[in-house]
Amino acid sequence: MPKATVPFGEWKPDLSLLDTQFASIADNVFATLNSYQPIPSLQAITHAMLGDLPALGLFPVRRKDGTWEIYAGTRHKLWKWSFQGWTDVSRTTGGSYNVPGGELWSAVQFGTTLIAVQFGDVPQAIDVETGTNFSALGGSPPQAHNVQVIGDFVVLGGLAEGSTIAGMPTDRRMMIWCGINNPTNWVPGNGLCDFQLFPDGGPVQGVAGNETVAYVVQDRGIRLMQFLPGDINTIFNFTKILHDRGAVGEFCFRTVGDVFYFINEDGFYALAGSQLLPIGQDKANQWLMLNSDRQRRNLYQIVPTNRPYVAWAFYATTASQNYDRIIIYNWANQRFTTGTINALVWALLGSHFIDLDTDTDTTITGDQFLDSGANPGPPAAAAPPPAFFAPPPQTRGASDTPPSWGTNQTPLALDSFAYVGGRPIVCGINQLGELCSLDGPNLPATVETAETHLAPGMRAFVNEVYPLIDGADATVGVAIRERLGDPPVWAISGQIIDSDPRNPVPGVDQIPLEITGAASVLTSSRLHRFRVLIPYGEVWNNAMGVLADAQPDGSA
Amino acid sequence: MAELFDVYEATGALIGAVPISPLELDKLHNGQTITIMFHTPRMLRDKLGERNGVFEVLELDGKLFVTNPDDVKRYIELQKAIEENAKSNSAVR
Repeated sequence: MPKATVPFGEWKPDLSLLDTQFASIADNVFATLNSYQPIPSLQAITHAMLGDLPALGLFPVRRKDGTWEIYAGTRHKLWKWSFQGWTDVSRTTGGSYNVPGGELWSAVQFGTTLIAVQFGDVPQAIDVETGTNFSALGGSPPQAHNVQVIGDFVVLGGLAEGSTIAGMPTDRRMMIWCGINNPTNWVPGNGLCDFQLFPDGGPVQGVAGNETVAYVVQDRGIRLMQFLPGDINTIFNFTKILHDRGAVGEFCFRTVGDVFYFINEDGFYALAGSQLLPIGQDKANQWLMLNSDRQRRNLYQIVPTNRPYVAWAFYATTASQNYDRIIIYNWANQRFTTGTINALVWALLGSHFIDLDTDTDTTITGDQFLDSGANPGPPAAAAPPPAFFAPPPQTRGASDTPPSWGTNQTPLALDSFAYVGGRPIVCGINQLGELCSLDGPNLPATVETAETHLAPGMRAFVNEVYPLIDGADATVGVAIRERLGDPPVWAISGQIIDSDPRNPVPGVDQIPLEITGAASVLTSSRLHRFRVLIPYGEVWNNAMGVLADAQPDGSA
Repeated sequence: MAELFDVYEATGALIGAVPISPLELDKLHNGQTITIMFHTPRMLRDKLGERNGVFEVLELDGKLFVTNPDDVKRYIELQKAIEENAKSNSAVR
C-alpha cells in the first residue's frame, strides 16, 4: 500500500488547515524547525509550602558573592525560599499586605536592595545581604503598580491614586524615577529624580528595557524612554513610537535582548527599535482570544526562559483557579506551541546553590539533605525533608507539614542542579505553594496534523498509522469526514467513537500502537486528520508527523 | 517626601532646610560628602521656569554644612515655589 507522510508542521491554528502542512494542535511541546520536542513538567524542588496562598510573585535576586536567592509574594506576605522552607520576611510594622484582586507583585533588584511593589501598599524593600524583613522603601515613594530598573534609576509606573507629587495628584498615567543611584530619593527635582504624566495612551502598564533606552508601556501606546546623560533638566526623553497599540496587562511584556515582546488587545507583537512585528498574525492571535479568559487578559504573565522561547501564562476559562495554560513563542524560528501546566505564578530563577557535601556540621545550606543522602536512611526526626525525589503530594495535608523521608530516597546525583547555584531555570509555584522547577518528567503531549485528502478526488482507506516519533508509547486518533460541511468525527474501524474532535479520550477513541509501531485505524473517508497523544513521563525527543498507510477507496 | 534637614553656611549661619534621602543621610553620618543636584521638575517648568544648581553637603559635629550657599538658597526658593504651586493646584492637567 502507498504510504502518505503527513507531517505535523508548524502550529498555525488561525489558518485554514485543509490540505496544508500546519498542525492544528501542538500542546505540551516545544517547536523546532522540523519537529516538536517534549516539555518537562513542573517538579517540586522541596515540598515546603507557602503559608499564604495564592502566590502572586516570584523573584530571583543575586547577592554580592554571586549566589542567588529566591523571594515570593502572596496576597498578605512576602517570603524568602531556602531548602529548609519558606521564611516569612514580611514587614514587621504596618500589618499584612493587601494585594488587590487582579494585581501581582512586581519586583526588581537594585544593588543590594530588592524592591517590591503592588498598588495596595507602599513600596517595600529589603537588603538582600543583611535584611531579615521587608520595610517601606526609604524616601516615601508613591504606591505604584510596577517597578523597573532603567540604568541607574528605579522607575515606578502606573502610580496609584490618592497621593500627590509636587502638588500633582497621582494617577495611573504617571511614572516617577528616583534620584540617580539612590532608590531612597523620591523628591522630584532632587538628584535627577523626576516624574512624568502622559496625557494620552492610557495607564502606564510598566516600563521595560535596559540601560539607556527603555519602553514606557501603556495600554494604548508605547513610548521610547531615552536617558540623556549630562542633561540635568530633562534627564529622560520620551518619544511616542506606537500609537493605539500597547500592552493589555501589566505583566505580559518583556524585552529579550533588544526586542520587546508584548500582547496587545489583538494579539502578539514584537517591537525591535521602532519596527513593529505582528508575530501572532495568521498564527495564534485568534486562538489566544478564543482560548483564554477574556475577563483576565490583564493577567497574562510573560515567562522568560533560558532557551529561545518567550512564554505567556494565562487562564483558559473563567473557571480556571490558576494559570492553567501557556503559549510559547520560539523567537529563533518564529513558531508557537502551547502547554497545559498549572501554576500560581511563573518566573525564570537562578537556581539556589548548595555546597558540595564536604562536611556534616550542618552549617551550610542543604547539609541536612546532602549528608543524609550520602548515608541513605531515615534522618533524625527533626531534620528537614529532602523531597527531591519523592512525588509531589496531590493534596495539601491536614497539618500542612511537608512530607517526611520515604524509604526509597536516593542520594542527590552529582550533576544535580542543587549543587550548582545560578543556573537559569524556569520555575513556578504550584497550587500547594511549593517551589517547582520545569525539569520533571515529560508532560503528556498532543500533536494533531492538518486535515488532508489522502486520495484527492476519492475516498481513502487508511489501514494503519505509524507515528514518526522516537518514543515507545503513543496512541493515535483519526478524525474523518466526507464533506467539508460535515463535522469531523473520531473513528476506529469505521465506527464513530466520539463526535467531539476537541475532546479525545485515550483508550476510547485513541488507538494504541502495535508491535510494529503502527496503529490499525481501518478508516475510510475523503478527509482524514491524525492526532497523536504521548503519555506523561514518556521519554522521547522528536515528533515529526505520521506515516499513513492509505489507498484509494472509490469515489462513492 | 524625604525628611528636611537644616543646613548651614561655613560661617555657621543657618540657610534653611533641604530634603535629604535616607541613603544620603547614611553617607553623611559616615563622614562622606554628598552632592545634591537640583532642577525644576519637568512638568512644572512652564510654571516655575528652568532652574538648576549643585551643592555639596558635609556633616560636622552633627550639623550639616554646605559648600555653595547661593545654590542652596536657590534650591530652597525652588522648593517653596513648588509648594506654593501645589497649594494652588494650578499645575493639575
